[in-house]
Amino acid sequence: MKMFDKVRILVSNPEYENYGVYKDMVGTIVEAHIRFRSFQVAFTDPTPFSEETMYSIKDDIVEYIHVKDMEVVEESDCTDEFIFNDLPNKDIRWYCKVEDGFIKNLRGEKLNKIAYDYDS
Amino acid sequence: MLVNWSYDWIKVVDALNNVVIDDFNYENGIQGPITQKHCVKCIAANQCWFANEKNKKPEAMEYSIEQILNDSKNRIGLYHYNCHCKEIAIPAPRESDIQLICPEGKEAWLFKDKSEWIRALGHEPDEKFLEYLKNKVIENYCLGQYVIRGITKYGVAINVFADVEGRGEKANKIYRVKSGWMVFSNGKLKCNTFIGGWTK
Repeated sequence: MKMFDKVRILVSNPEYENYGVYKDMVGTIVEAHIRFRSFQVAFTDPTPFSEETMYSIKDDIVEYIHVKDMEVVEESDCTDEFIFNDLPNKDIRWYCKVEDGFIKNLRGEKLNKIAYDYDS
Repeated sequence: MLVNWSYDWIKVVDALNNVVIDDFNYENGIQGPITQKHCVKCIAANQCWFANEKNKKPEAMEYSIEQILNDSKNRIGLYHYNCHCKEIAIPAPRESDIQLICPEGKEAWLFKDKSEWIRALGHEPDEKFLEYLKNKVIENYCLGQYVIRGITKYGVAINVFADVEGRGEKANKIYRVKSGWMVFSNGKLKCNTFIGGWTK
């Protein structure tokens, strides 16, 4: 799981629902770094734009989603170089990927202690 | 512009807290020591500029008469009891006062996922359009053309209404775009989504 991957929401969570994010919605990770163990995810209405449809197109929802609450449905080809350049202050210590059950940074350092327990 | 200066703006200041939302460096982003010690709303708003109107600044706490008269243990504060935040009047910001923070990924996402929308307005999804849109966001933010969407530990999220002029076949038309940003301290805005929706 990393920047520009498409992700599906796995849970019903009142905090997310308050912002219009519901289980099974699919969005795109739009920021490289993981903050508070969450990625920023954008949910965009797929309705094609036209003069007739534009005002009925739902607004983008851009919210932070905990990595444990989503799964990848389509991987992006985003490179480590691009991710690095998007990190705040280009600080390589920021965690920015989820691989093999671990939240990792570009050095391969792990944040969680126990695989797939993302709060450990 | 006279209209700019006719607006009433405020800056939220917590004199006892130097931390602002854009201070969230690696350590704070991982462990959250700041938000563990301070109220989220107070950190999110600290040193940020807002038009002094409903839905354009964080709502102050509304105390009942009973709370004001009878609660002698707690001091009435702006956002909660014993809150140190104050609203300080400031001049309306000039466009040159505003600094946009636009992560590369947000620009790439705009060109990838919103190119159809941009072309439908008669523009091309390129740097020229991006600069045009950024200027419109700054212009309309300074005019107070925005609303608050929410306040979380990630900051105060706003939608800025930006008027985009059509080009080509769409010339002479104005499209009102909702552009999503986080308010950061002292005139900084961080991009959430350049084009997040439309409004009349």
